[in-house]
Amino acid sequence: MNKVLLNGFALSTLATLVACNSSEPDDFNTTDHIADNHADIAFAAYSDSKAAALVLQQSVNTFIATPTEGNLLAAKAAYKTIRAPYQQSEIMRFDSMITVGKNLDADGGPASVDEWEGQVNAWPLDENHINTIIAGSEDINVELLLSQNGADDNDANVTTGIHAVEFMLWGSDLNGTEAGSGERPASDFAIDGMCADSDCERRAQYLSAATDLLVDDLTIMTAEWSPTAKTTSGTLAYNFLNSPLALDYMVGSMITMATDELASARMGSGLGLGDPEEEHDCFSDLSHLAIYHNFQGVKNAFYGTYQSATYSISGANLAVLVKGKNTATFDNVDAALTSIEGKMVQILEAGERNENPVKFDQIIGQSSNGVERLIAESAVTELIAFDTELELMAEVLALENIDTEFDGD
Amino acid sequence: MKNIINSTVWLLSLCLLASCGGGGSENNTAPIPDDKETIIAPAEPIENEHLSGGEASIKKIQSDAFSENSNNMVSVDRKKTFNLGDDFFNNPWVEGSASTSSRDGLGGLFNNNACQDCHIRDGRGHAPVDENDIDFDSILFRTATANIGFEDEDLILQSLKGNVPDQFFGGQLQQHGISGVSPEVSLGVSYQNKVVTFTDGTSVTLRDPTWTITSFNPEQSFGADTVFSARVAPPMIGLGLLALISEADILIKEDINDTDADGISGKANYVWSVNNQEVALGRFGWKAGQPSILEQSAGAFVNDMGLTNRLHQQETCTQEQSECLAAPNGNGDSVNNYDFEVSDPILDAIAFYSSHLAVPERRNAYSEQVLIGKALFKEAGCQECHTESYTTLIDQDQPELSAQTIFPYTDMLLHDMGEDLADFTPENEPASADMLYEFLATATEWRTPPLWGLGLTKTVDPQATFLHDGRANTIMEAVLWHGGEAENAKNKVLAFNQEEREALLAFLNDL
Repeated sequence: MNKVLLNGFALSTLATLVACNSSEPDDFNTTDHIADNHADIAFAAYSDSKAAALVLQQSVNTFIATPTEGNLLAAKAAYKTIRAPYQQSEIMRFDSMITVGKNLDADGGPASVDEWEGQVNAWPLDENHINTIIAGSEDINVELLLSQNGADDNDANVTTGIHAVEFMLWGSDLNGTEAGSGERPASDFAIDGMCADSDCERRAQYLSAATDLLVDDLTIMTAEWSPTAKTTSGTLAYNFLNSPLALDYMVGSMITMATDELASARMGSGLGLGDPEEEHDCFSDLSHLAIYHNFQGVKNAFYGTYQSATYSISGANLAVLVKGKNTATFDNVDAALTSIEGKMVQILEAGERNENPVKFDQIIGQSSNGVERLIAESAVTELIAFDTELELMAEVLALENIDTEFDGD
Repeated sequence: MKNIINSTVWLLSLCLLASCGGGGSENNTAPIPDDKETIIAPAEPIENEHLSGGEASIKKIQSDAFSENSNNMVSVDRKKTFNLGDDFFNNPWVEGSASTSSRDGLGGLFNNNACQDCHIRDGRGHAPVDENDIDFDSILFRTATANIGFEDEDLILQSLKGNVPDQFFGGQLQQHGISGVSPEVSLGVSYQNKVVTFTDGTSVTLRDPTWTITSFNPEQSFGADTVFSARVAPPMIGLGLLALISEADILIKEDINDTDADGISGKANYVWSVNNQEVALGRFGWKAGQPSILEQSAGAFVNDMGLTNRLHQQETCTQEQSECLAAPNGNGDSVNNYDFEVSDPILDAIAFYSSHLAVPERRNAYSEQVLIGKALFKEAGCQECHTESYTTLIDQDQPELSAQTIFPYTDMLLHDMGEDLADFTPENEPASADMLYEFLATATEWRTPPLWGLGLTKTVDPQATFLHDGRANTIMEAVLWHGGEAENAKNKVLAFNQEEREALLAFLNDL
């Protein structure tokens, strides 16, 4: 992408800027450019998620047509591919403060990322509700899933989205804090009269409907951030780019993801309680991947970068803006991100390595001096301390303190 | 998009302007009108009175102003506990027995499924807007019976028993049930206008609620002597500091029989401490019915959400409520067995979280108009109950909250607030002022609520309303509902002219 070149330009102007000790941002790293680049990152992350979901849809169709263990593995692999871009996109979701009351759904699109998100990545999910639907008699289709999502005013009655697909592919993880994820056999989807309990066809219908809806939802959100959307009134991208609180929202989202989400609900609560059901990707045991890429989303927002097989974005960013105003603040944020990255990489590698991998639910079960637990605990500790650095950064940038804590879950 | 940069600069300069207020007693507000005769001299500023919660105060003016931990909390381990509490305060609880085993066990009956959904952004709840509004999510109703025997009365007077609840419905009415469990009641309200006129002819229209509380089961009705008490979720800030006000400082203002004949009594509530199995001074809740934050939290878990915990191991279903009794429980989690639904670490983290939600700093404590408003507040006699300041005790377990000079504006005592605000009968008539409603608190008595954070109430939640039943839409409406022991103070406010009223509100809104 040509943005890499532009960034080189930005860095050289930064040098000039620091030299003349100006407190004004240079021409490139203005609010406009930083927000514009952030919108490009959102588009890339949603596009990658959508592309991965389309591959998943194909794999699921293949698996349902020919329910072999090999095809189930292929579908699981396709599912896993979505987690990297999607979890990076989650930095966008804490957006109610810039979207509420704007009627952004007037064009038929979602009113906010936060509102849309409940159908796509809701957690906690109580699988009993999905099992009850499958054991029932109503036709299973997208409409049924939508009508049953959050049924009985129960927020854990999640029927749609990534975690519903995850449950259909893996099943419940009955291993507690021991090694092993959900072990749903391919025979749960058996055809040609081979089904052990007569629900196989309904499971297939469920998996298919949930996957189709996921593709549709990601398609909708990708469109909200496309280059066209950026200049089209009523889209989320246009609203963000024209919001006087664009940077405030970006920094507020970094704080929320780092502290309220990662340090608290997504890592801290499980570690603190020792309950493996507190891990977010509890069926697939892919929490290490999920939290690692949530953290990449925080870094992306700061450095203005996004890397994937398809995209390589590096553009105007908060880092350069902050550095121009206060070098020490930049150094502190940069150092904190680097150090936390070190811990998150270790958690990722422990979960991904071929020999004796240690998944996040196993870390939850480790004693207080377990190798990976110590790493995870110190990541949480640093994420909490990082809050202070980010608040100082918001002060340096004279940003409003945006309340985003209660978006999402 | 140049306007973005402009507005950032504008915001910055606003911040600079605002920050001047903290410096001293300089006159830096809107000019006071020439008509000085009617305005009294500004109150003498007190050192650091802008730090309402002492060093634990936080500098926040946005909608998250009630959601931050004590500013002087440095320990990462303590922040972790706060975060754990925050997670379980915010996120919904679900029916038992769900796979999310640390978060299940909601109901059978419940008022709401997350603490946060009543204490909205850790702030105040609200009454419904009008008779078409069915939002009773952040207000609940208690019951107690009026005609009780001598034995029960004796137990209540000894603080061994809170009251005698309605026999079928129990002490708290839940308007929700999990799947398969019918709710206890459906709720409605209508408002009648009540016009109050200031001496200068300006009038304010108050809304007087008529509550409709209907048994969901048509076969079952309330006892003829059942009295209801409406309770809106109160704001959560500064509770740990209130817990550390010394008993001596509270009791010194007690004057049960009004021996000083100032029309104001002040009575401590003494309540049964479930945790300590002894009688203790009541501090929390609208009638000071709970002795500690831990017990308030444990009570809210079991009563508001149907979540048993180590202090309340029985659901609140009454004998006749078979659906409720048969509801699935959420005992234990995936790795630990315990015979209740909220694990000890979660209950304790919620209590810790609730102790450390910080009070926001005041924005303009030293401006002339605000100090004039404060002088008028005292002139009217409001501080007779809304006691300005204390120094908290030292508690080794709560270093952030210890030895802090705080400005909560409450005496923590019960006062008779008059018939208009009384608990009420099924016919919406005020209950007798003699009726013991919650331990020693009668049907007309309420604990003086702290006023800190008052001015940020609507910033935190624009829907928030004031007083125990949320009838007041504005702070002035709340002032004008004061009766009983506060009748004289209210009458003085009614004599205030426009400038004085504005100054009084400038003060209250700065808290």
